[in-house]
Amino acid sequence: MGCSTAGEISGARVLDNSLVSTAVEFKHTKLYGTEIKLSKVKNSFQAGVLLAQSIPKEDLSHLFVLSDGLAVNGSELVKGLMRCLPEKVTVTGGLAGDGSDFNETLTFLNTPPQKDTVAVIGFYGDRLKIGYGSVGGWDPFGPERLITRSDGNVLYEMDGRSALELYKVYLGEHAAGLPATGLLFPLSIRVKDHEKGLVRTILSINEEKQSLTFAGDMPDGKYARLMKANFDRLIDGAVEAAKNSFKSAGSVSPALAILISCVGRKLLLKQRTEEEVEGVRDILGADTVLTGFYSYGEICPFASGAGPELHNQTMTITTFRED
Amino acid sequence: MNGIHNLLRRQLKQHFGDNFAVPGEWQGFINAVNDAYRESDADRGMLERALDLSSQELLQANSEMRAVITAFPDVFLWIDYQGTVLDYKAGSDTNLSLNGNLVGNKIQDISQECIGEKFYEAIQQVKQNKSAISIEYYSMMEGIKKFFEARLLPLLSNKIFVVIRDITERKLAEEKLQESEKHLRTILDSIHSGVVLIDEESHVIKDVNRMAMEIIGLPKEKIVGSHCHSYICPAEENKCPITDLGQEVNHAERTMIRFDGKPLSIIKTVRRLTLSNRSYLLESFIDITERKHMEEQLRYLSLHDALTGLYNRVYFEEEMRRLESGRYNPVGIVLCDVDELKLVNDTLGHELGDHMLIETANVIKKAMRQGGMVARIGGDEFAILLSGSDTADIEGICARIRDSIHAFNVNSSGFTLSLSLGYSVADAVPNDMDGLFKEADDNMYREKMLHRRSAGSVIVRILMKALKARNFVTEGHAERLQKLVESMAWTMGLNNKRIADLRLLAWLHDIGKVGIPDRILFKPGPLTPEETRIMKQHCEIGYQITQSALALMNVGEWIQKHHEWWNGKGYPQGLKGEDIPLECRILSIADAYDAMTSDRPYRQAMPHEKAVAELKECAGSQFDPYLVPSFVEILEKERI
Repeated sequence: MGCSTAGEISGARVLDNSLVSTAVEFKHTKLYGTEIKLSKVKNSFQAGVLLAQSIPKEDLSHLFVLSDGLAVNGSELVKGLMRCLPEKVTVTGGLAGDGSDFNETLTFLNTPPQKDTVAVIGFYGDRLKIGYGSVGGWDPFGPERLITRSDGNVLYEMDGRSALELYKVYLGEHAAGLPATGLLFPLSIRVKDHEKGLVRTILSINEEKQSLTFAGDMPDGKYARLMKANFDRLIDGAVEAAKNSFKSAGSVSPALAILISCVGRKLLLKQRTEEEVEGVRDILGADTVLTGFYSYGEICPFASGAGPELHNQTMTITTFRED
Repeated sequence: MNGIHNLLRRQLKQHFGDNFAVPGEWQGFINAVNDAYRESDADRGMLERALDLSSQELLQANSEMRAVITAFPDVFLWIDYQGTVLDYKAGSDTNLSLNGNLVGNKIQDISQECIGEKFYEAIQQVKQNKSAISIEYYSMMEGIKKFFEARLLPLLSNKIFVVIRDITERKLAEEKLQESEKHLRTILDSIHSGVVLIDEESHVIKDVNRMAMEIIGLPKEKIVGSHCHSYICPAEENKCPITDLGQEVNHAERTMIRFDGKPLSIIKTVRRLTLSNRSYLLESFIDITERKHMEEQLRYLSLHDALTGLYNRVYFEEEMRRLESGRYNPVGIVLCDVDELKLVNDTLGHELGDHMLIETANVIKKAMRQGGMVARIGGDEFAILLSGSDTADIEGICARIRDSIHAFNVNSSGFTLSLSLGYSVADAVPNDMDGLFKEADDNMYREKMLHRRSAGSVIVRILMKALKARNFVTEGHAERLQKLVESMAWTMGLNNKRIADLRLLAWLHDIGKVGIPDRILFKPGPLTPEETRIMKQHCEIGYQITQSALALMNVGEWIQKHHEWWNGKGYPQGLKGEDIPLECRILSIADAYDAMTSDRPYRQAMPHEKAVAELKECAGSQFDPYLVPSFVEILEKERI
């Protein structure tokens, strides 16, 4: 199982334009994998539903998802999955990347890599201890803006003004680098008052329609704020995510940790990207095998015990250990 | 490589391997790069912190603004210059007077058409002038009229902030207030007192009612704004009874000034009034100029005789009491009584009687010296009170009055005057004024009696002058009649007294005609039966006239009977033959002859022969058949 990326993680190294493969053997845990073509279903929600329906539920403890990173609405995919999965099953994963190009993302499960594909592997049995953590480290800034026109994950206007224009104003000369440079200013969506916002990053832009397509829903009538980050906060975020995953798996060093970190972080951290991986290693321990990639979206419960959600701009860690 | 920036360490490691040691000659350069990294981190950290803080402040301000907005019951809208609603806060009163979904729609499309137009115009103005504007409108909601005020304020970001407030209660209160003000104004304008509202501090007139405008004689706009001393209390400038002197003006008589400077008497009441924390004087007043004038007239009339302008009995009595003390002694009273006034009033009418009284008053006034007081104390009675005058003074006055009467009669063509005078003088302390009056009255009466007895001439003079004035006694008729009847009487051997009476009869037999209306008396054509009946009353009227004068008593009876016929077909009593007094029978023949032989406006005189034939013809019917031949004989003799 694998996907195209915006950067690969192997041990404490972050690589570009490489192929990283990790072989994993479970003593007790059984696996069941399947995939679906997004182009063959009505929408991402239906893809999620069909995938969840197609895998056996007995003894299923965890589902790991790798999805196409451009053609998908990650939020809807997760909602679809959760519709048909038992409550105790945890879901983590990520959306495939394409460097900073946002052209084509590929996914595979026992097949050659293909676009428009969502692949899942179910983990069965109670010997497997899964840990997870997902933290961004981004801070909202500036005023709250009302989403005045949107359609699903396509955003047209905030406060009655073109959202694309707003991004161009903020990016200045970097506007030419859209949609990749848009990752420097993700949006925090406040769904409910006094609730921590969901982070959304840009997947693509449409100059003709003056629209921005995000990795998740941009509901009308909700408030959004631009976000920013600095190196330290991002690295602290990765460390925080590692601590959360460590704690959620019983504070024992895992055998394997799959790190799925957002491409936006990498774009910002640049030469310092490895520092966040090093931070994770420092928490999980030198014996834990680290593997992973830079993605166009991360899937993970926001907190322990909560349902999975699509995240952007986070370091999302899934740890594996068999007792 | 402790103390080296993470990034620099990583870069060195990446390029030179894990065991790289910085060569000595690189140390300075490495330190400089290291410092630059750290300084860059510090600078960025500071900027990020500033950005965080300002974001927090912005969020805080926004949250406070939203809290404030939420706290208000009003509806808030954020719209762009096209009117598109970007956001809104519904307010506690969700009834927006706007229809349908708000966000994304144009405000002019979601409100009723006429309201939409108002919004559109207001948006254009805000866009152009970049300043706030207010509009008011109403909307029918479930059959109830609701009023709204919308304030549109320009925002920096080419947006407009709209606050819509339900002002129904205020509007209704305003309407109610306006209605109540209208009622108050109607009441104020309908009362017959002037009402003026004056600012207490500046004394400037702030409001007036209709009556105040009428009294002052100026329209409201010319009065309001003027100083109150210009009109309301001219005599009190800088001495305002209320504000300067601390007085109360309650139903007080004052003077005010009309627009043309004419002073008016008013009755004024002033009250203090506080309106919106400002003190006013509310002055109400009634114009009593007319009343004052009437009062003066009444006072004058109460002490004066309206006809002659002299003092009246009331004043005379007051003066009598005043002179009782003796301080003004000697005191004299002269009483003057107009002779035969009743006769004149009855026969010649009250107009002439009044004229006689006025002339009498003038004559007396003319005869008076200064210091005397003349009053008309009864219908025909005048009195003069004189202080500090002895008998000689009084007699002098009486003499002057008599002279004046004589002079008047000589010059008067219309009527003659005759006065009876009496006087008395006192010099006691105190004076018995009533006794003095009675003495003067007795003296006057005595003179009147004397006048009565010899009054025939006076009265007859008066009456004849009046008859002539009325121009119905044909010139020479009376004289000719007198001659004719005198000749007859002489021939018949009547004594002188009877001859004199007969002459008087000849003169006055038609005196009763003064009581006949001119339209009948001077009618050129034949009289109607009714007019004839009225005409025949002159005998009775003549009789009544003579009864008021002692000297004419005898003649009166003959005047009454001078139209009786021998055969009993005359009037008024239908007496026959010798029941008719001889004097009447004689006059009847003589009167008929003279009438027939005189020219009248409607016919020429009859020749003597024809008149005699007529007399003879009527002897035994109209005339005494025994007297006609004697009369004809006398005529024949006198003609020869």
